[in-house]
Amino acid sequence: MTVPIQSIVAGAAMALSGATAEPPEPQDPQPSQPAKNVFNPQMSIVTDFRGILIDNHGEKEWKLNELEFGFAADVDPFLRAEAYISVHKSGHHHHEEGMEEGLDEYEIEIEEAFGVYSGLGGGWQVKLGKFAGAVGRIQRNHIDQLNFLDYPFVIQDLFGDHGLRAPGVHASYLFPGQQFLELTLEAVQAEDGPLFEHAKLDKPVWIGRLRTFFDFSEDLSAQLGGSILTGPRDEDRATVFGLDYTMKWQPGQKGQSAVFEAEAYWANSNEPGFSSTFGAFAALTYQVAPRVFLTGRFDYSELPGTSDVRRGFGGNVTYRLSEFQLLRLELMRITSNFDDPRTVLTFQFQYLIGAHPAHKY
Amino acid sequence: MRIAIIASLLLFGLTRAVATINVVTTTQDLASIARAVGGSRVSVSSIVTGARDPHFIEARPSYMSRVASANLFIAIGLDLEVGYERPILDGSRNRRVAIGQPGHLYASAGCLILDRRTDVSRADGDVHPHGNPHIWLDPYNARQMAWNIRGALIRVDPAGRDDYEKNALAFLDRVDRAMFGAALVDRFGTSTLWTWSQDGRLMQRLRENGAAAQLSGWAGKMAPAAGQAIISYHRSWIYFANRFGLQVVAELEPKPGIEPTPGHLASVVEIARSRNVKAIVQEPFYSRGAADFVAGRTQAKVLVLPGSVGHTPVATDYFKLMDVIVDSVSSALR
Repeated sequence: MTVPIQSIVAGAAMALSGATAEPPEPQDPQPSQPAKNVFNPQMSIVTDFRGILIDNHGEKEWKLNELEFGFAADVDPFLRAEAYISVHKSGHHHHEEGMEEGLDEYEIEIEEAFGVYSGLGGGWQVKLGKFAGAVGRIQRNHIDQLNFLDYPFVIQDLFGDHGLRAPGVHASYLFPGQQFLELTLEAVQAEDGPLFEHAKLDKPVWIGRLRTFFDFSEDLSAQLGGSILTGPRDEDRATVFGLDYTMKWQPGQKGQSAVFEAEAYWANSNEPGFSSTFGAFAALTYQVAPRVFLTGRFDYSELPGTSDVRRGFGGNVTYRLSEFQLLRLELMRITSNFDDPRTVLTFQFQYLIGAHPAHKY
Repeated sequence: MRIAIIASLLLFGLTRAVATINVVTTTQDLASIARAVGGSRVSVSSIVTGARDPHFIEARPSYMSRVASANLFIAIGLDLEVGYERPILDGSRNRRVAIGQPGHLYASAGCLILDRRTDVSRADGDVHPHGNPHIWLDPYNARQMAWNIRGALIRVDPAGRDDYEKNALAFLDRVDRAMFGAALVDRFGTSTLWTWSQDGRLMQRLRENGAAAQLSGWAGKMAPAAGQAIISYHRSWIYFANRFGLQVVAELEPKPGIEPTPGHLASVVEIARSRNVKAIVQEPFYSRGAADFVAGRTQAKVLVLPGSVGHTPVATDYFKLMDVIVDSVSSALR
């Protein structure tokens, strides 16, 4: 309770000011942390369990869909590191045709593992490692941050089931001023996917993204982004243009919110016979009670390099008992020009243990 | 010569304008105190605006732009801002205000911290292992926060030291007089009064010194309510209760961050009846349904009060916030 230095400083200050107040004495000095845990990274585990309750294509099952391990810590005063490791079922195609029969094994995938320098100054941030490409907004989120079961069809059909996650280098610049404007440039060695093939260090997939943000009011805000990608498609090149728009209504009253999220992509290639493709996704999530959310979603996707098209209409009800767990029931109706219509009703049980999740926009 | 003087004055004025210290705080309570301590040398804005739960703020990109030009970032700490502080700081790319840098402050340092836990589990809800973060509703902690902000401002703007010292002491003096009344402050000094308050023996000591009648201010208004039981929605009123001798006998949330359940509310009704609870206190962003349920079955009155500066139009600064709370609670418990 004795604070001689503070008292000396305060005494001098009081002499200066003539005030009668006495400075506070610290009531509860922070105790030293237990040394055994203090340098451990923040850790979290997201468990995603699902039941395919109805599927007119016959794939009814319970499955431990995925475990996602997350780690984050400061490496030193300059570098912060994050890693996300997913253990999920092989042949992870929830709404796709052609799932291999009897495939019941799990595979480990390093979804992201990167170091990021945020203190370079001048508005720059640099990331090195494997990370989610700066393509739209939704595919950069992890499964616990989605308002629906899976990534939009267009993301899966262009970049793969888990989106575009690849090793490479990222540099982004935040323009000065009160209006948020961020430019991102990336060069990544994307794995072979539906669109890009045979990317290498000296023949990467280049990604550029510009995003801005609007605070219309305390309650209403929106983010608008544009992405452009160009990279190898075997011996040819493929290019993607994307637009994404997210609008959120978040009044202060607990239990009320609405989120509209939409993304659209145009893909093209100079590969002979490749006709340009288009895909889009839109979803509206409305919070009807403190724990209950309703989502409606629409998917449209032209599969690159083919004349195949698939559409999805669906919706879900999500019950969030706390910030750390949810129960969800999602019904999807999928139609295409290459298969019979498919109706899928999926139950999802997801929970998170460990570090508190980030409240990302 | 005249032109040179005018030019010098303009240049000086320009320099002063450019040198304004840009302070970004997480909560409006911090912003209010920072404005009082920083005075005309600082420009202060808060991330949380209006009546919002400071636990559940999202890291809007616009916050990153605002923090990008900040000289000082002030958060409460104690994991109140755990969901959004780091994404905002990293997204701002502003190394001056990174955690551990001179431009970053956790204002809770040195404050009286309640509910500090050594055995932590989320089975207890969304708990804060380093302590309950709603520290600002104890005026003593507001003093400590002001003193901490003064130190941080001196770090980032040493030239303003005299101003910050003077303003901080003036803020402390204003808190002291608002808390105990001018007569007692002048008679006993603030250190003595706060020590008695902290020990829970303020009224006893004042009676022993024949000064009980001189007690006024917030402590004076709340003194008749000492020992009474209240219920709160969230565990956000314990600092206020602790300072003024109230007992928070139940929360409407069964655990912190968990929505009220019918079974829990039934038990709260029993507690309210058995403890003769007269007031249920909650912030304006919570639904009144649970509180009305309990109030309708007991003699308790629902008080929707600003838990922070800016929660209601009247609570425009720290003193008006405390005035509103003290007036409402003391009236309800009369």
